[in-house]
Amino acid sequence: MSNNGENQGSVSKLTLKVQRYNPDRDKAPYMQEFTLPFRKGMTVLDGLLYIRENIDSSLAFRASCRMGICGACAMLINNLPRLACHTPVEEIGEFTLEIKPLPNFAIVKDLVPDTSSMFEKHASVKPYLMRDDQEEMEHPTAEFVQSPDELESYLQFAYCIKCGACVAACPTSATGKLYLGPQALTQAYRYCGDSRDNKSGERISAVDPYYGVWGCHFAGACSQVCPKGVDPALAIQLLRRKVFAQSLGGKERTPSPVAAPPTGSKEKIPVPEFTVTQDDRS
Amino acid sequence: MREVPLRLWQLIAAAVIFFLVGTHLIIMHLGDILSFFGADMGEPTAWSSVMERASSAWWTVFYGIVLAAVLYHGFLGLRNVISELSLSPAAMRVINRALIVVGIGIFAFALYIPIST
Ligand code: SF4
Ligand code: FES
Repeated sequence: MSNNGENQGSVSKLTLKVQRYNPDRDKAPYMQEFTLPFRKGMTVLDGLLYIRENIDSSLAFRASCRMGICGACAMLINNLPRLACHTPVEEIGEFTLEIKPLPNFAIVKDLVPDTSSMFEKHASVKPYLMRDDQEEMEHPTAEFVQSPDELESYLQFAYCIKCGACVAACPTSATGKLYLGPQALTQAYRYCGDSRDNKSGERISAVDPYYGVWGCHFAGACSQVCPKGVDPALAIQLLRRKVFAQSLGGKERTPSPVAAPPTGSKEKIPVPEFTVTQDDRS
Repeated sequence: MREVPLRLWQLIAAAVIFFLVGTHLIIMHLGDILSFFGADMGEPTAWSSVMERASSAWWTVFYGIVLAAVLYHGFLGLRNVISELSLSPAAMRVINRALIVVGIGIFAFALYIPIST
């Protein structure tokens, strides 16, 4: 393990070279170096929080859950898009790290990327269930039936937390502003592959233009960097197959039916004692 | 505009190119092997052979299909490269039309030569 001249067993200092940029003030981004105390198990996000709390409160970055769920803290750490909260410094094996905002996005400030283009593209592929039985969708009577195999066929794509790491790694997204990108295309497949959905035709129209599913060059960088183990490159190939199948006359599937209403009445789970009830409030 | 019909034809054109251009290359360059199997094509690159093929309806159709497939495949590939410049849909429409006109022009001109001989 390289440690830049410091012995890991007794490393006490961590150096973070952080890209700074305030569009209101700076002409171009520049790097600023911070040295801070290192402690075992520390993540990159811990380092950034330390800087903000103890060294420079103006450092801007985004983070929320601190546990790899919200996707807010994705940034370029030693040239790879990663989640800062999910990247222990020791895992990288260096004690001088270079941190920049995600590439392929505009910069709001310092390490905060403007991900609005990704979310607009995400919304354009209709990432929600669409079915013929509108009445059941709006006033559900029970859940839709789905077998474990049906769930398995799209489950990994549902793990996406919209962090944007795949878009940051994608060479096609780097050169084509219009390209829908691995995140949106993966979510298009996630819903096309869901047995509860039967309007994939509408979604396919959204991904079929020249800046959609055909733009992928299958570099595979998206799948390599995804912190949630999603394989966007695979989703895009599966989506292409769906688009071809539909154009060759493939029919929409019959969506999974509504489950039979529960029979009999189960004993209700008692309300825990610490629960505040309406009576307590009044 | 839906892309998938264009992509399907690109796959079909690729298969056509594989078989027909393959046949063309075998005839042009593997005469010895062909005559070993009893199919003597003479000297395929000689002026007389070229003119003989050019005046045959069968070969004219053969080369017409090869030409159409190669032009379609190549021009669609060129369009894909241009599309990555993230031009607006309106600009892409202009490019599409320009490529269609140039493609048809080359096809007509290239086919005119064997037809007119
Ligand atoms: S596919 Fe992975 S890398 Fe891409 S946005 Fe979703 S979680 Fe992030
Ligand atoms: S802070 Fe939520 S994923 Fe890192």
